Amino acid sequence: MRGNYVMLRAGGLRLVLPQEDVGAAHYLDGATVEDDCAGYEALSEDMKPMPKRPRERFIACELRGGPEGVAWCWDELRVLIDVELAAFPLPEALQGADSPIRSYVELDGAPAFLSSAADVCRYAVAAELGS
Amino acid sequence: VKSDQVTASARIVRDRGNVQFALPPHTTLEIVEHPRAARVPAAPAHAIGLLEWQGRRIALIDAAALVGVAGARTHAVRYALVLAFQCAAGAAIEHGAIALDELPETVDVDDASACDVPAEWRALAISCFACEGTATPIIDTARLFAADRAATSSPRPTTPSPRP
Repeated sequence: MRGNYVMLRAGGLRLVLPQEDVGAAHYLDGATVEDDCAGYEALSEDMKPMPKRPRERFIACELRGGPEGVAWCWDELRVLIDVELAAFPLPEALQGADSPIRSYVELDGAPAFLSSAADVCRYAVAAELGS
Repeated sequence: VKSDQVTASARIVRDRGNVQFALPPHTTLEIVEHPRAARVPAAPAHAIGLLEWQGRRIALIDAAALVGVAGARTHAVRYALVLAFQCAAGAAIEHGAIALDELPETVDVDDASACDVPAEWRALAISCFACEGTATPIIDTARLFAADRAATSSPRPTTPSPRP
């Protein structure tokens, strides 16, 4: 598959989303790191919202289909322009029933998981409500 | 085993100290020591991750956690046993791996040692035998790696033909 994508990393979690799903990024400076950071969400490696945003999640962007006014925070955001990616289906045994992950690509020698921003947000919000 | 009894080999695997089951030997392909699997987000508790094997990535799972006889694994995986399976007769052979604490052991099994499959293994087992007093279910490898084990628990060919 060829197109424009964004790789978002949060610790060991690496997601690849269509570029049109990801809003403009902005950096959180030191002044906001210690704040409660209302309006900012950070995901764990298991794609569940964390109670507090870790210091290293300093790149924030809105996600299409996510809650209004919420920016999601990442360690790394990389835009992949006009890139050719080979998608591999995730083995069934590794798919959670409600998981938004069904396939992955190889990026820098490691898997990065394909999804849409709406599905990632839906999963994260459901996980937060269920916890 | 009496000389007139028909026997078959089974690969016994033990995990977590007291979890024991068996696999058809022709489905067991390779042992990987200290496997390093890439974690998969939003995966079920029995999923350990994607294991790189022979130029591709396969599922590495915890069979004991899958059937609920043990909780999610918290310690590092000592061995991964790579398995072959077929989801349907004539379908391509696929591969997956299970986590183990000990190396498998090969034993001979005969009909006289058959016993009931323990309830927790019924969705995965094709039969069961007693080994040193322990009921040891023989696992259908395809059911281990199927997303919908209820749908795959009906009798059908699920293990690849023995290799020559």
